Amino acid sequence: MIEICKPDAALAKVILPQKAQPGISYVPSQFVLPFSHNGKQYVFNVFTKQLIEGELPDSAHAGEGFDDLIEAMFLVPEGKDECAYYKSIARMMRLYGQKKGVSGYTIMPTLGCNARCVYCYEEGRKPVKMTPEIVEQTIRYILKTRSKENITISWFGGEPLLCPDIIDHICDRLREENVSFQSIMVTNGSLITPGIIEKMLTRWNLGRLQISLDGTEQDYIARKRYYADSDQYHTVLHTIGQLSEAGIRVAVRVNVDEDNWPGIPHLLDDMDRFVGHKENVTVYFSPLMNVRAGENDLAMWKKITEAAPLVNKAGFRPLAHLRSFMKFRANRCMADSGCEVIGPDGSLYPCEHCPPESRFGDIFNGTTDAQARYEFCRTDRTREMCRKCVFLPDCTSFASCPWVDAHCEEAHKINALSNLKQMLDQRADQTEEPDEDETVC
Amino acid sequence: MKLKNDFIVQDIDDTQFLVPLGHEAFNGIVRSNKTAAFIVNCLKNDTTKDQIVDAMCLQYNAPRETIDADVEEILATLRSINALEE
Repeated sequence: MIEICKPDAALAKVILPQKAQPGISYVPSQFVLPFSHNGKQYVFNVFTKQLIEGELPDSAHAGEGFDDLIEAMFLVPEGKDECAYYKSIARMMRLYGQKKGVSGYTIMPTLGCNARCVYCYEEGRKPVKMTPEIVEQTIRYILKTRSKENITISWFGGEPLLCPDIIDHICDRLREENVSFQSIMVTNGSLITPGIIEKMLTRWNLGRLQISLDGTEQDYIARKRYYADSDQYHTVLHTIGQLSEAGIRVAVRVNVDEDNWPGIPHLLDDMDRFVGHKENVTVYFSPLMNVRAGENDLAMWKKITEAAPLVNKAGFRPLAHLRSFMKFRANRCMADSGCEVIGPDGSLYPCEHCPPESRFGDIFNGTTDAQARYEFCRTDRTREMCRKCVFLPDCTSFASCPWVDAHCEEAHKINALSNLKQMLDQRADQTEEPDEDETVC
Repeated sequence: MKLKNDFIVQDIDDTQFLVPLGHEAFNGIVRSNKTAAFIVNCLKNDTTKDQIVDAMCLQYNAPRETIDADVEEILATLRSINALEE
């Protein structure tokens, strides 16, 4: 067995090597992904994250020369319920990772927004803003329920920067109470001024944020539909440049479909002109929900993976998901990570999409409906279609998640193969010491 | 004595794991051997060292003194990670 990448270190400490036992027929695990690249054959174990060069036999027994593949779980006993096994390990790792207290809060100061994005899933909701009473109670709630360790506050909306005063007040109070915290933010970026950047650095402990930038100027204007008739496109590009100069990491999320895709090279050119410190800017493409759920989702994913060299060539920060892809993740999203979402009316949800059925309490009374939270986040139910999926360990393992792709297994495969091949190419190209942050295995 | 509530026992295939829930004194996962797993199973309910030794003597064909020493060693390990309620 020629090992290219070691299995996930944490997982390797927990799982004993699978002993090759006589009399048992071993077959390829459901979690192995064979592929070829540059004339060589590889096999990736999506569960353990181990990558090897070579091919697997259709079946094997102990002592036939494949014991190392059996030990590493590339081959498993025929008939093994691998879904149940994976879920048991994932549950244990989740339990292990649980902290006392809440480690992350997503706060929605307002549902109001200065844009009317055509794809917004919050469209039609009342633009409720936190009242002073809700703000004060939010602070009390955090102080009462937080983990003793560093906590993360994610500012979300609506557009959170419509309420910088609320962010100021909550951050100032947390600091007065000696709470160790860091902030992140999801924003359209149009309201960021030098004064706001100063606050981000000095009062909000904000080291990174996500800005959506949905295509070239024409597409951007048509999709964002700002209320104010001003040049928001160039304002946001300029802002991304300023943020990167200030050392704030920016993830530029480009929501794409077939219509705005042709303009992507032009968008990257525009960004190139405005952003000086590209090492602080990541650009990634995300198909719109209707694309992901539609019949042409795979074509879009293919285009996205093929565009990775464009982003790299433009000099922006490489895709961060290469790193996370090579690590076993017990938690897939905020809903199963113990984070809490505080709505502008003080309601508590496990997920920023705030499905009404998942509301489990409020900041005044705490958890009043633990069952609602449990039902939404429970991981012991797996969709039937996911039970035999090779990518189950890379996917949200609870059935209530609102995200469903039309052809999710194929979409995962496109992304996984793209990641693996990029990683192999990077390894081949590496002539100098890699940036520690970018090491992928 | 008994296993503390903030330690979860999980059996996966033929291996038993002991997982602390947000425990401040211990940051790890315990993978038990067969003897330890037997003792941990006994500790799911309130019990005493002698009762555990009695149960093991019924299960294993070994001198009582040897079993007693094994139980003592494993209880000491569990105490060291603050897993026991006594």
